[in-house]
Amino acid sequence: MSTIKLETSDGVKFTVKTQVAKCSGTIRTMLEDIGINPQDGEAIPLSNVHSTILQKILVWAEHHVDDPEPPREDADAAKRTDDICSWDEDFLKVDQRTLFDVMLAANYLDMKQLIAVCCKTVANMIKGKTADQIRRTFNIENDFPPGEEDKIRLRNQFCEERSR
Amino acid sequence: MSSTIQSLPVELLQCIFDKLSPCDRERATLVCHQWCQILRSDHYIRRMALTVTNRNLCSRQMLRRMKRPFRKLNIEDGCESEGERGVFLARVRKLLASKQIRRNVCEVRLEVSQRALNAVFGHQMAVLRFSRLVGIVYTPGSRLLVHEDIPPAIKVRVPSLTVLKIDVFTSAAVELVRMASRRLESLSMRFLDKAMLLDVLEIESFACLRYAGLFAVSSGKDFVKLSALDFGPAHRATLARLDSLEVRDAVNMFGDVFDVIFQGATNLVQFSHHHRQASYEDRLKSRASDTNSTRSRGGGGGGARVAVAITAAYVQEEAVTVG
Repeated sequence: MSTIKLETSDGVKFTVKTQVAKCSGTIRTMLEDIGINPQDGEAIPLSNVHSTILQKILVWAEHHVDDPEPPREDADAAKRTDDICSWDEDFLKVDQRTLFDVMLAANYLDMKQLIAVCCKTVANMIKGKTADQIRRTFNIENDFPPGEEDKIRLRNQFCEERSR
Repeated sequence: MSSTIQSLPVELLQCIFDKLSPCDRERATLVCHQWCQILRSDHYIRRMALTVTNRNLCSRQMLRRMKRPFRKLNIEDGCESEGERGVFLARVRKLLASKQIRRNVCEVRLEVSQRALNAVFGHQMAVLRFSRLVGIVYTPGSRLLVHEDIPPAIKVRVPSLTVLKIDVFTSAAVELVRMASRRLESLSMRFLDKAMLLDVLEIESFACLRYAGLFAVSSGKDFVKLSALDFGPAHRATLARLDSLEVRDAVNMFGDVFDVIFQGATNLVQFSHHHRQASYEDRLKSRASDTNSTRSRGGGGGGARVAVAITAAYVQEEAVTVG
């Protein structure tokens, strides 16, 4: 089985099965379109990804490498957040910093399935909370000038989303 | 590396917000400036309905904020005084004339009187073109204004309009139907007297009409039953286009014309009827099947099968009290 080498931002080199590495759209494009030849033994530089995060992502990719292509989701399916498989749920039981690092790296590596599952996890952390609770959960500062919140509430009155 | 949710790029935040319910999204607008900006970007505005009333369209600033690519628009006239209404309608007129609204809105629900309808659409500087508008639901706001007989002065172009639902007919409503008739696929209307119904069925430019919902309600005055003589060739031509016809008859207006309707509506595959008198059901069913079998024989094999759904359920009288 062919392997390729990846090099992270902190200079750590990983040897990965090509098939696993191809879970990343970015790497797939590099290999297929740009024609980087992995046999050369030269490592593909991933300048935005730290080794601890890549390690984690590779575990995920290894587990999901044989997943079938997901069907094109319709609007309803895309909104669901209760369909995270239990393996992924355990996998993402990490501190927020790691979770967001994984998301950023997945985004850089263009791994749609991993992004989707992370987004669902974060969405579940937001659901049912008030603005104040959300701020506390994610340690977000309330940066509205005084009075602005009321204006937004007023605007929310005329922008109604269909709840279906 | 110390990532927080605020290190995420906009596209990832958007991806997260996409998974939230509208209610959660609304609460999330109040979290911080960045979230509010994302959630009020056109991406989300496009999924939203804008509800315009005299209470929220209360300043020029609000008017400016409403000029966004909303897909759905509800306009409700809740004005108490004429002076207030004048200001409100002038603002609605400006709102509808804005490019953002005209180019994006797909569905409009108008809950205004005929006078207001004219004021909004009639006094525009130029003909308004709503390029994506698919459906209009029109409900005259005040019950008292049903009798306003103002000549309609509507100047709009609605090239994509396929669905029109009008609650209680006025002459402006007939005008709306006429304007939209060439592309209209579905038309539902609640009307008080037969003259309005006949005016609409007489419109000759229907080319795509497949569904008609005819809901007769009592105006509290004496109503006139439809008779076979009311139906001319133009009316029959309109009926012949229909796949599906729904009749809700709270005042037994259609009592004498079902034969005419079944004969005229030669392409009908679905017919449903809600009426008040339970005794009526059997007569209607047998007539429907008679017409049906005659047609099958005449059509030589490929006869149309009409699915007849007749609900004996007592129709709630949806009377509109006038005066």
